[in-house]
Amino acid sequence: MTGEDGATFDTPGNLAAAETLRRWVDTGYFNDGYDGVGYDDAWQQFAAGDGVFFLSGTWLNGQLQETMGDNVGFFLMPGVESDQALSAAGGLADPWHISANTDHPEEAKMWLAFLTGERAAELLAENSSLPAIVPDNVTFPAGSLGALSIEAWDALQSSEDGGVVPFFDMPTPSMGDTVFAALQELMAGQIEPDDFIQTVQQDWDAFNT
Amino acid sequence: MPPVRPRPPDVATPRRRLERRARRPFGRIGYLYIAPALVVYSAVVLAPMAHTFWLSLLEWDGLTPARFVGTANYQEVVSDEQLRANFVHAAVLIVFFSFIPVTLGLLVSSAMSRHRIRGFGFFRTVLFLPAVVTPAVVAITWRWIYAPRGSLNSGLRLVGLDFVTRPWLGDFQVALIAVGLIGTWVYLGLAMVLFLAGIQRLPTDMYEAARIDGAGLFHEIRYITIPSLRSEVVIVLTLTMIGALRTFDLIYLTTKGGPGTATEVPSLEIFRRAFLLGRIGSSAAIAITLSVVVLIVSLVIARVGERHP
Repeated sequence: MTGEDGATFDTPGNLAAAETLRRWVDTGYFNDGYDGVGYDDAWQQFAAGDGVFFLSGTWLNGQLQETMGDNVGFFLMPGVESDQALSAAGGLADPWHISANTDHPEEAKMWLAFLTGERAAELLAENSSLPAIVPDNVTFPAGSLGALSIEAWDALQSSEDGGVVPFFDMPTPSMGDTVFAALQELMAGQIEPDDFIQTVQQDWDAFNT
Repeated sequence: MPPVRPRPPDVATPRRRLERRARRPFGRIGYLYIAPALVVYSAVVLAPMAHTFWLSLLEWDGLTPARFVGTANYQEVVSDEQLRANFVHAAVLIVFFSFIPVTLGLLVSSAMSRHRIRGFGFFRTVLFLPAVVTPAVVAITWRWIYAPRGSLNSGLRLVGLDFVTRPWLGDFQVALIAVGLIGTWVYLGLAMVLFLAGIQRLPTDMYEAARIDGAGLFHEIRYITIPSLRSEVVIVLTLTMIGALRTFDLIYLTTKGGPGTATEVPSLEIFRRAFLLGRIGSSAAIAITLSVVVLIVSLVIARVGERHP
């Protein structure tokens, strides 16, 4: 969903995705009691060898690489059809703002320059995080989460119809709460895929009327 | 000759005289005495409350100029279905944070008072422990206990109750009760300590006399403990009900209102609207509404507690 006119969450694709997610739960693809496990406990259980796949993002590269060593990989969620364009939800970074009233505009600019600079990229890479811009002198060991993430990123960039879709909790200030609560209800069978779509759409409409 | 009945001693007179003296106005000098406390109280309690009330009449995102909207925020509090559900959840929590601890507290403290127990001080400390542990620690401990592979489920599996096991905090039907029981555990300690202190103050001959007359534990509770502990019960009810209505930390650290919206409470929404959604006015309106509810509940308890049986 973007600010464009007629933007809607109510699409056949999203409905199919909601139905698929529900089917995965019903088939037992998720761990028993998944709804009672917090985020940090979840990736720690995964790192301890509990589960085969973990749906998450590159922000966990550091922790997972450190705990699992070479025993962990990273790949993009494949499309429904094998020849389908690759796409993924994601965001390059957090938005930063400089207040017009600040007494320290120069320092703020320097901070932004540091964040996007080479030194920061090196530090991020050293700690198995993913810099937004990878300088030439920064390399990730082959097969590491960092290298695999960059491969995935390049694949998304070269994908003609696909690419990166902004995170679903970003369109409105309350969308995170709405989507996460509705997802839990959808997965637990409290609401149907249709209701899920409508709930998300209502949040969007409330901010765009 | 008819027997001369001695006149009953006039006990009312001295008391009435005392009351009259108490009611006599101190004049303006009285305000001077309370002035220091009043100044501090106004600065840290009354002024922020008045400010919050003012904010609740605005539509304000915290940054750009505010707009006066009158009672619109309050109308939303009443009409918002989710918010109404939040208040109902808080009411359910009152049962677990307040009624159960008070009932259990009265039962257990009466039972403990029937016999001399060796190491009484030790037990009292242990019982009070939950009430002094930081809520953050309480929440994280219980998260482990309630986890899908936590100690509660392990224990249930050990005794063959596999069909009862569930992700306690992730189950739509039981999550609110599970959170409520954490509150029971926390506030039972508070109730016990106050009740035990109250019972120790009572002369033991009352219990002895009751026992000679053949009173059992429940008669003792009904006719001695509860009437004698009236003020303690009022205090514990007030504290725990306020605790239930304003609970935030426990929920934020265990379920964050989930699964879905099963454990959403007003205080969580106050926080969310003020600090995440930038809806200061709406947030303030919920806060004021919650404060009024708390005030009414406290007044009702105090009123009922003062009435003689």
